[in-house]
Amino acid sequence: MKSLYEKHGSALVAYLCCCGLDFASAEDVVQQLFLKLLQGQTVIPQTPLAYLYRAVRNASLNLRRKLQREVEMQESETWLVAPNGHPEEVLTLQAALRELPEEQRETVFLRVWAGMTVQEIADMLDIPIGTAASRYRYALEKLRERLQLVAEP
Amino acid sequence: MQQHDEDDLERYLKKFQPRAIRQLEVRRQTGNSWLRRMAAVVVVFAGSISIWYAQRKTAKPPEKPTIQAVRSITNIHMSTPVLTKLALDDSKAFDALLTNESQTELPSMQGEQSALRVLAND
Repeated sequence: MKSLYEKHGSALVAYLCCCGLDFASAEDVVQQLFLKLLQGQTVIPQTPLAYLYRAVRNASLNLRRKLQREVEMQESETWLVAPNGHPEEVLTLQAALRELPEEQRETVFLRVWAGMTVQEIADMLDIPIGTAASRYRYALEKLRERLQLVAEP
Repeated sequence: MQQHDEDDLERYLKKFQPRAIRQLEVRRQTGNSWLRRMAAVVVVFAGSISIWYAQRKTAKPPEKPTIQAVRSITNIHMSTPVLTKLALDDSKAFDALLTNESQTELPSMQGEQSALRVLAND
């Protein structure tokens, strides 16, 4: 279980941040999920990746409903780390992601940082595979536009 | 061409890594709770034992009627009902009383039909 946490924990937290939670709340949600799993309250299926993402997604939806808070990505808080360590580049990318519709943003995250296939994304979100593929394609197009606009002042 | 652009962008995005998170804080609740329960059981058990022992020490068994006590009663009312009751309630005390009486009290020679008086006259 600890190895699962070490392998996927940070990506799960980043996913929740991408969905609109602040970093501390996202960490708490992921911690609580793994503690429940450690206590044996839930049985993990053979392929845990989709299960983990679905579980934290549901938990974050419940939390947001409880707090009656609308999804609003944190502007100054980083949940990604740039390869060169420059936070400006991260903030630029996060700003571009923030401008995407939530379902497209989620699809990009699951494909790029969770490493899921389009089929797995479709299964997890309970949508047709074509919908998942088109969401991803549209999202990448918009991201490219945004990032090029930033790169070409 | 478009696919190529998509791949490039995907590669660029993958260079960014999710931010590190804190260690999993595993609370050993299960072990602690068992220890706490065991300690509570031991404390309750020890308390019960000490209370039971203290009560046992202070509680006195019901006193049996002593010979003196019986005598003090029977000196006043040495009647058949009293002696019968004593014989029924506590046969040992009754025997002890009779033995004691026979050893300490001389038979009366005042009665006209007393055997001792007859013997004395003889």
